[in-house]
Amino acid sequence: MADEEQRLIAAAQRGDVESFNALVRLYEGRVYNLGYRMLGDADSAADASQEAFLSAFRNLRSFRGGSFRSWLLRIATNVCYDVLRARKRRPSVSLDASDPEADDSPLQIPDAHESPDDVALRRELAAAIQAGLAHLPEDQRLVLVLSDVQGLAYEEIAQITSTNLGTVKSRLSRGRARMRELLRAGELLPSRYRLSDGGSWI
Amino acid sequence: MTMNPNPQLNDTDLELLSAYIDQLLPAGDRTRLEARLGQEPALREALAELRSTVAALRALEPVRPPRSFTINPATAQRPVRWWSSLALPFGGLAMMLLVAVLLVGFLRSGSSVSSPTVASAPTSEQAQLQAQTYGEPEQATAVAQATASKVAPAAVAPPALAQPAPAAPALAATSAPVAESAAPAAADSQVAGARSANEVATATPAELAPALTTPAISSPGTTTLDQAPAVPAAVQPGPPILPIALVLALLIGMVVVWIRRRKE
Repeated sequence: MADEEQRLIAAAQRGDVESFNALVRLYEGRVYNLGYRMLGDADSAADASQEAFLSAFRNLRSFRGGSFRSWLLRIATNVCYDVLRARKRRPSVSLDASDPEADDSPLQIPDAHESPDDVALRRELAAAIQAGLAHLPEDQRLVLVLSDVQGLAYEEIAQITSTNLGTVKSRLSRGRARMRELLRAGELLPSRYRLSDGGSWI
Repeated sequence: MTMNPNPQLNDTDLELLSAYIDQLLPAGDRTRLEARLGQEPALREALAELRSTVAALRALEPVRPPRSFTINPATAQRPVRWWSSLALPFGGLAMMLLVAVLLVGFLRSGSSVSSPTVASAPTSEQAQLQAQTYGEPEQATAVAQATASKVAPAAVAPPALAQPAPAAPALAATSAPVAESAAPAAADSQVAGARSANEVATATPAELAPALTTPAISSPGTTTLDQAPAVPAAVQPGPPILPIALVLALLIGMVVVWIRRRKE
């Protein structure tokens, strides 16, 4: 897998668009989801993803080894920051204006074993988290998404965000604490998580 | 400021709990935290809720992209904009212009420092010219006085202008008949001129006028006039600001274009 990726990268660096597109297919889900969680709506996330891959292709020669995923996610992160900066200059598009639940629902795969109540709860929670992310400072939002939504290690997050481990830990703990408060304020901290995790702290 | 509702929980505690959830706490810290968890219900509750939050985030289902982001070879090429293709040659040109303008400005300001004669030549020139037309020394002095007193107030006001004013003695000295002694004499008279410039700065216009005109009268007028340097071009002190500003603006613009092009 890693060898195949290296081969694709080398070919893409020689200008082979098809090899690059194979890399796009490998990472587009991750890049799009990062954009979606950072920007809060499907259209912006799609535009940002396209922009990130185009930018990656044009700057492929500057990739000098290491983790291609981290390199790509750093580009995607920068594109997201650019979009957020542009929004601040023209604040017509609000993160709150988007309806994450509506965006999510047609794209997510329903679980056949879930009861209607569970589906409703899951959707409500997903919407609450997406709304909560919009209220987080961007740096905390990014680290929280990379760590807890995308499951990346602190070291890789530090690479992507061009910071150090201490900064990652600090932003993550603050982001988690703030998200906890937002969910709690909306009484959306699910009781089942509390029940299942509450007594197992040791 | 903080969103933490548990006053006993500070950022350090939150960071400890966060690392504890990720099982990344060093053994010593973990033992101490677990001991505290056994005794502090608020800490325990915070841990439980943070765990729930993290679990909810991890359970968030990935969103399926609405389309593929594979790139089209035709659109993958960087669009070449007319201004971006001009950035490099124009940037180079602007740089050369800037260097040229700065160099000229520097040389000019340098020469005006070494020979203050140039800037103030009109005073002595006019005085001598009028002295010639009147012929009589007394009258010439009177006219020169009048001319100098007209010029003097303007020259006295700012010190920068006042300094070139005593150039009249310098001119007189350079027009001396003996060529070899002219240069040292000029240097001396410049020193004297510098000294008298200080006097000029404090003197009233009436006192100033004779001091300025006396050397002009003592020199052979026609010779002095013939040797007078081309004055008007040198009147402007220091490097020209407008061309430098224009060239700098052009240069900065090109650098911005170049950086944007690289970012793409």
